[in-house]
Amino acid sequence: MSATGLPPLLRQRLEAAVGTEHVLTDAGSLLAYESDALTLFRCQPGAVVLPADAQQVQACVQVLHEAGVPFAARGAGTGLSGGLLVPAGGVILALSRMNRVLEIDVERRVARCEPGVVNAVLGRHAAQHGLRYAPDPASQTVSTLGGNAAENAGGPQCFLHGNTTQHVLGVEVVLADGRRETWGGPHALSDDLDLRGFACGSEGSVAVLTGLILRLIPQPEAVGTLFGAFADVATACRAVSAIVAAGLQPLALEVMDQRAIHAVEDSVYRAGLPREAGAVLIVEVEGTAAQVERDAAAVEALLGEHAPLQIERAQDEAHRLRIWKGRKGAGGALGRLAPDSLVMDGVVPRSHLAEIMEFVEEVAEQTGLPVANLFHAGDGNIHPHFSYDGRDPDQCARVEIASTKILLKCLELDGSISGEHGIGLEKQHLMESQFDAEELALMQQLRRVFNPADLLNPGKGLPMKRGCAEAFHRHRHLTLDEEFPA
Amino acid sequence: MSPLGTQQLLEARSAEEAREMVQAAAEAGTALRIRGHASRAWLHPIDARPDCSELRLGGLRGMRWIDAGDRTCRVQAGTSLAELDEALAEAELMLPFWDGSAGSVAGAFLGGGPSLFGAAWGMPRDQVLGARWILPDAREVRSGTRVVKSVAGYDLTRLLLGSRGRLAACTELTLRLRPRPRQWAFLQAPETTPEQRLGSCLAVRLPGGSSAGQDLVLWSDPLAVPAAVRAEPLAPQELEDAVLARLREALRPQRGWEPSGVHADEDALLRDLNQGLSVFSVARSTGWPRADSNWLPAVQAVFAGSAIPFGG
Repeated sequence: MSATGLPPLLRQRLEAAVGTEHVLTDAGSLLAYESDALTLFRCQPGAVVLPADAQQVQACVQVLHEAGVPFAARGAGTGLSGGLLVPAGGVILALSRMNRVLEIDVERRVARCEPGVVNAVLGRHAAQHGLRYAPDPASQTVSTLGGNAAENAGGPQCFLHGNTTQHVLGVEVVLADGRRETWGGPHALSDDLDLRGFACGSEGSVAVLTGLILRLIPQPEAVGTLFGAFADVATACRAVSAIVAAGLQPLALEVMDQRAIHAVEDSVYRAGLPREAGAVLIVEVEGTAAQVERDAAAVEALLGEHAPLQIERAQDEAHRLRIWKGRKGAGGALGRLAPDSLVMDGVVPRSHLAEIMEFVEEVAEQTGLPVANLFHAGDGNIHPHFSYDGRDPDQCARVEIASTKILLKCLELDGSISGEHGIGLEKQHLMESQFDAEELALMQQLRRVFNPADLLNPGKGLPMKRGCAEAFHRHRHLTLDEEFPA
Repeated sequence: MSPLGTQQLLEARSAEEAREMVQAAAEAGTALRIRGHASRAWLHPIDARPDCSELRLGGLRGMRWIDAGDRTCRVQAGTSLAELDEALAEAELMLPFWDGSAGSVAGAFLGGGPSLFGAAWGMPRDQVLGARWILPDAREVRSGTRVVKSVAGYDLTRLLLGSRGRLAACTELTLRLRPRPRQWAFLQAPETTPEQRLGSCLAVRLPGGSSAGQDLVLWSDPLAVPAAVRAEPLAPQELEDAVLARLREALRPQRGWEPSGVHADEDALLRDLNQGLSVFSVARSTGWPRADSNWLPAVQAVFAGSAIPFGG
């Protein structure tokens, strides 16, 4: 099969399933689907198919299964680990047309949605009933619920409310061979086997999610948002520890360093953060009005014990939203600084935050590339953000080596190589550092149970054979002990 | 160890001893079923082979560590929930889980049953960050991590929890903890009909919503409502007013229920939670039968390797 063409018969069958206009094969359209938001990895699919509903997904999968063609489901393409590329000639099932919120059951606090619903759109629907959908990745105005579930996405509120998997009660799926099943359900009790939990975070390699049954929670009566500006990141991290040690339970604890602050303040996401600060810590508390007052005062006092340059509390909802616009727009703001970005994603126990951030600084200096930090401090989930030029192989090598070093350090500190972005193509070479051979073998065998021919998003998440890497035009094989080029 | 026959009762005191017992069973071709203290067995029955021997892990007791800064702990699988709670109370932490059982902490999650804190904190297994397991062929594996967030690899922890011990034997759990509430309140309501009982995983909001454990879950009758109020203790009257006002607002129009009172007495809370839960559990065992998943044999085969899957 050529990289540019789809066999005519296959094309006809896919067109019969979804309609001619929903099978894209022209070069311009395919270009938009050659990578996710991690542009280090690119591979143009043979076709992009846009099914309208679960039946059409099923029809497509049956065709692709019979033809032995690899395929992957895609939401908005905001993934950050190279997780939804298909080998040349493969097919992307773009689920963006499946964007209906089907039901909001207010009494049971459950939403039923198609996978292409944008996260923030569900939030708006839920808000009409005094409810909300808690997972709030920074991409939430664009990213889809199906993609969020497949990657087990996080976000600032996950400090209190947990990652996406904690909010997915059930999933409707199309299996690799085209059968349809429902795993879990709105009752919030577990099934016999928690295949729902297994599918969440499986990076689209277990089944195509065609429907989601999601847990909604009430809107808080009141919210309080503050930030403290500090001389450096280490002080901000100490303030985080103090807040946790005091038994407080904020909704979010987010840190941004000076480079991130400057990028935001120079962009349309300007939030009024102090440019002179080495770091800001954003804290949000929620609860009853009285409780928010008490907690906000307690947070303010604790911030005050860490030599703050400034403490500011949002005085109204517009101010609060401006602060969050700055935090959530930081990734976009940093994207303006260079042709490409690599947003790393590692986790350490919260007590090791200051240590890992010091290490990130050391590595950043060695790369000679600009690095900004914005991270979910409450969860110990770091996101060093490297700006580089993907056209320069030397810069590509430097960011990949930096990423490897930082993530190995996370493991040394008893952490994880991914808190919310997934493994995708990016971190496969590190899986053997986090898991032993038995554990990886179990995962491979489970993958084969659900995806026996490995047609469903092949080559992602788990370590792959050398030959497979070439299918994705990966420019080189990473090793763990590489040093920066002289 | 002498050759393992059938229908024996094996009681392990350590993970290593458990592994040796599993290995002996595998070598003898003996099927095993796994239990903790066997306190929830009636609630989460499995169709084990009649000739199964039983391996009990209730003897694997004790805390490995509590990290108050990270709000995490590691505990041996057979530790009872009461022992765990006692250890956590000293660190002013809690596991937001309560099912009224005196059984093991691992059994609490492996059964896949509900928790009275469900409305506020989601499914019980959401508090489990990682675990150690013995597979039927005596391999030892870990799942998850000790950090509060990890999406590396498949989520084996969730797949294994809820499987009622038919995939692997849990020897240790790493748990996510929450600050211990400084005050509790609960409420009793009049009797409900069976229909209401079965349908009533009804969650009602305290003022302020579900965050920080403030939510209420109403199960069965008598209506047992735990409301963990985390912040500075409210004055008893303030708490009562807040809870009652909210419940009246939420319940009366929907169900015609009139809440009868709020108590801030922990002993009374636990007594009533137990009573409420046992009624609920009975309702659940008849009301929500769980069929074996079609995927069970294939998934069991992965974990069992060359040995007989747990449960036979």
